[in-house]
Amino acid sequence: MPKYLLLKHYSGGPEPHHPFPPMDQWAPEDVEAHMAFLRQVKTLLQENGEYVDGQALTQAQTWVRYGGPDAAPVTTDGPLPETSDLVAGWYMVDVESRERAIELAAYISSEPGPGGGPLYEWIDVREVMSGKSSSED
Amino acid sequence: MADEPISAWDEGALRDLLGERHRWHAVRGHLHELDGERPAAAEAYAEAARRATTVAERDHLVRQAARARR
Repeated sequence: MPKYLLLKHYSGGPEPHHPFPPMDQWAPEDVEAHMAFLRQVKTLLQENGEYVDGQALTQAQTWVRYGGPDAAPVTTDGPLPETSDLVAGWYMVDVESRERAIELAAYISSEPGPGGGPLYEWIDVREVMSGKSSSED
Repeated sequence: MADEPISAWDEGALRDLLGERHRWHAVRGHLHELDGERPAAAEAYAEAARRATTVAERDHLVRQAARARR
């Protein structure tokens, strides 16, 4: 069955459906409802046998490249997090079809936001290539 | 001492002790809250949440920020 990465972003992506403040500015009960929904998403995926992995990432971003022979790696914080595309975390799911991956992403995007209504957050859906990569042969 | 504002606390010594990390901002939030400075407490908790390195700590700090803003 195909695997899909459902990526949540801190920033970046298409124009938001509607602007919303960071979660620390929501009413406490809305924060609880949001966290409870995401716990329930994980349980649902596990019960369906569709769950592979789910992780959250810290916001600190470090870009690294080879510095050249006898040189230290070159690092940079990169573009400002406010203006760049920054991944917040992901679900890896193992599903019957692309349609099912999109259905799950839309469900995650319906997570409750401030005021309790759906957040309509954009979810980045990426299919994992099947088969071994050429480097594994 | 307990009645004095956070400015009377030795912020520099605390920062040196804890480092410019999420726990430093969390402690700062708590001290602001003790002083009744809830908006400043919320900002410090939110900054701590942005720097947290575990999901449990992040969620706790987001809750603290939201509660302090209420």
